[in-house]
Amino acid sequence: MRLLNLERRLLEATLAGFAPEGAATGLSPLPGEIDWGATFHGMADASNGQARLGMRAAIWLAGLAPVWLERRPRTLLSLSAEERVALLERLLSHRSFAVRELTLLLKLQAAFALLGSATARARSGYDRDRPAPVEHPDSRQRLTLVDSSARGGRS
Amino acid sequence: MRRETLDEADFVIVGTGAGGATAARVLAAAGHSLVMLEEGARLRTSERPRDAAGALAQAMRDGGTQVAFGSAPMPLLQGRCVGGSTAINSGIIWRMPEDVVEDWTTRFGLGALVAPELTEPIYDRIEQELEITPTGEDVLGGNGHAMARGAQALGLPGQPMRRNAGRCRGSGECLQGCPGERRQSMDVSYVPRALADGARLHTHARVERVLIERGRAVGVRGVRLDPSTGRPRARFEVRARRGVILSAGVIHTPLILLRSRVAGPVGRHFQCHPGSALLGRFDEPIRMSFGATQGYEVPMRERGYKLESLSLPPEMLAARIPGTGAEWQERIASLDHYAQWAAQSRFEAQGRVRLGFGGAPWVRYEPSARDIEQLKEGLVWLARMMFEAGAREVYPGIHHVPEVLRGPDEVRLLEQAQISRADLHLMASHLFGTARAGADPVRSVVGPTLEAHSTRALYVMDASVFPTNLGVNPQHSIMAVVWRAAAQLAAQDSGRVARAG
Ligand SMILES: Cc1cc2nc3c(=O)[nH]c(=O)nc-3n(C[C@H](O)[C@H](O)[C@H](O)COP(=O)(O)OP(=O)(O)OC[C@H]3O[C@@H](n4cnc5c(N)ncnc54)[C@H](O)[C@@H]3O)c2cc1C
Ligand code: SF4
Repeated sequence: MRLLNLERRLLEATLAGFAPEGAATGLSPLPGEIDWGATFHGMADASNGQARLGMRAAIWLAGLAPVWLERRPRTLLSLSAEERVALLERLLSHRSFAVRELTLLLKLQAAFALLGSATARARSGYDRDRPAPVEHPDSRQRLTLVDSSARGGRS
Repeated sequence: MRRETLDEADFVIVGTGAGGATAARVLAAAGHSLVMLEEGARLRTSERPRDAAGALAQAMRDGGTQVAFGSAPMPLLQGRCVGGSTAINSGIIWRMPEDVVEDWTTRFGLGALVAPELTEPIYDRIEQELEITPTGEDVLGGNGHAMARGAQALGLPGQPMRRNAGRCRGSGECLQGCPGERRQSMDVSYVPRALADGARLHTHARVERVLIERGRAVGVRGVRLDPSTGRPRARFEVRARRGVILSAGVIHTPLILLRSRVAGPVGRHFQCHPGSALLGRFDEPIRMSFGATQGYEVPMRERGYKLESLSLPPEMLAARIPGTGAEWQERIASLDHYAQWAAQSRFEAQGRVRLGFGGAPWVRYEPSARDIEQLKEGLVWLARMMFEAGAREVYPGIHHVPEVLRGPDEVRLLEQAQISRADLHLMASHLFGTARAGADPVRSVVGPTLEAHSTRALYVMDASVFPTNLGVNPQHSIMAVVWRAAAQLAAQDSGRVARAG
């Protein structure tokens, strides 16, 4: 799915808005570390038509939220990082299910982009002190050969 | 578009999931020639992407975005690759509960399909072939162990899950395809076995309709898809000398039947086990990155639900954690401290699958108020268990309930909340009905042998034939029911008595 230039900018600004750079604590992306738009196309290509429509609607919903939610004549692009965070928080707890779900779809994309980066993932602690996988003797050979008599009489 | 005759065989099987692969395993072993047609690709586990986005895009129908519509859309998860949904599932195994067997026998006249004396040897056989064992303590992982602690503290009937992954090494990657093929999904078990017994498999072959001549199914028609773009490349036809078996799953089997104008309540009585999950944050590390994706369960079937541990890849886990900005960033900097458990509930609601715009499925489903109340009860138990297991915070993820519960006393906020459908995030991966089996041709699409009442030599062998949902994970019941029907078909059709089952 091709995005207009403005849609792409709104999308990237919205996704980056969930996890702004330079936060004092927590998982903060480094400058240029995350390609915020990258997962969108993979997800859109795999999705059905309705979902693609939803993905596009979500971009406009968040991008124009200052207008319809706060009655301010501007897009999300002109908000500060703190204002974006506050706006996204309001959208996520909005009384309309559709608004909440579409914003959650954006948050999902933000999480996929952020944790899809190997370096950010390493800082998330997800793999910290991960125990070594348990090893078993490979008994597959034996098991797939259960009842290996020839075709015809067997089953 | 080009038109080609792709193949011809005794039987054509559409779909290679739990139903289709089992039918292929039984019929090929009995010496029948057969062709399997699969819309998705054959994915080698070693080549499957390990990241969540890539895994969903590659192996799930519509990348996981297929939904049922109602007062709020609900994602319906299904695999779309060789192995079907078994290629992405967690391998949990349950035999069909006795009360379901009784219900199907008395209300639907299906004793000849599900009577225990007929199916028990089949269950035994499948359990032996698919390495079914309880999840070992060594691979329960922190998520499973924490759930065991919570269940034990409350005196709930918890246990390690039985799974078809006897050699599970706890990589927590069932959704992405099991590295080393330890989980015996159909793509690494019954499909290769049928191929070894002479079956042929065509991938990227989407069947659209059944060819019916003088009331008898004689083949199928569909389109070949380009493996790289997924776009239609050529039309094809496959002829079946003895029968057509539809195993395209609960959403797509009825669409094929509807396009083929097969009579009966096709697409009706859609049922499922919707589920919802909550997260707990612990002071000590849980390390979801290690352990069986799903390893521990608390079956509370008599209350209408089943509680299960459910680990997630980091991207999906992070998306479920509440907050934005600094608050979210602080929480997701310690992803090794979270546990996630889910409640899957046996809902009474019934929905419908129809042909929608451009031939795509249109699913309508609306849970009842009682369904929502029942699921909420399961979630309340999960929250209590979380705190008993040592969680510092619990995130219910339910609108109208605080984002964060900070102690066992706050569980009452969840208990007392008036929750409606749109407050919850529901998801369903256990789907049933839409071509239900039964003795009565007015109320069912196929009979007790799974042959269509209205069309000779047309069989449905997948979860579509289930006249009710089960209250337990379905793949084992699907495999057993299909095995029974396929063994009967093999015996009847070749005149040989198949030893299967
Ligand atoms: C994420 C997930 C986890 C699960 N975990 C468990 C679990 O742990 N234990 C359990 O018991 N159950 C589990 N299930 C459910 C279980 O996997 C399914 O109930 C079961 O696989 C359904 O079998 P089926 O044969 O009806 O359909 P499927 O297994 O879905 O197979 C249908 C096949 O048909 C193909 N197909 C569809 N349309 C066409 C067409 N037109 N032409 C050609 N091919 C077509 C599909 O691509 C697919 O391969 C899970 C499901 C999911 C999605
Ligand atoms: S947890 Fe890992 S090793 Fe175990 S069955 Fe799943 S994918 Fe395979």
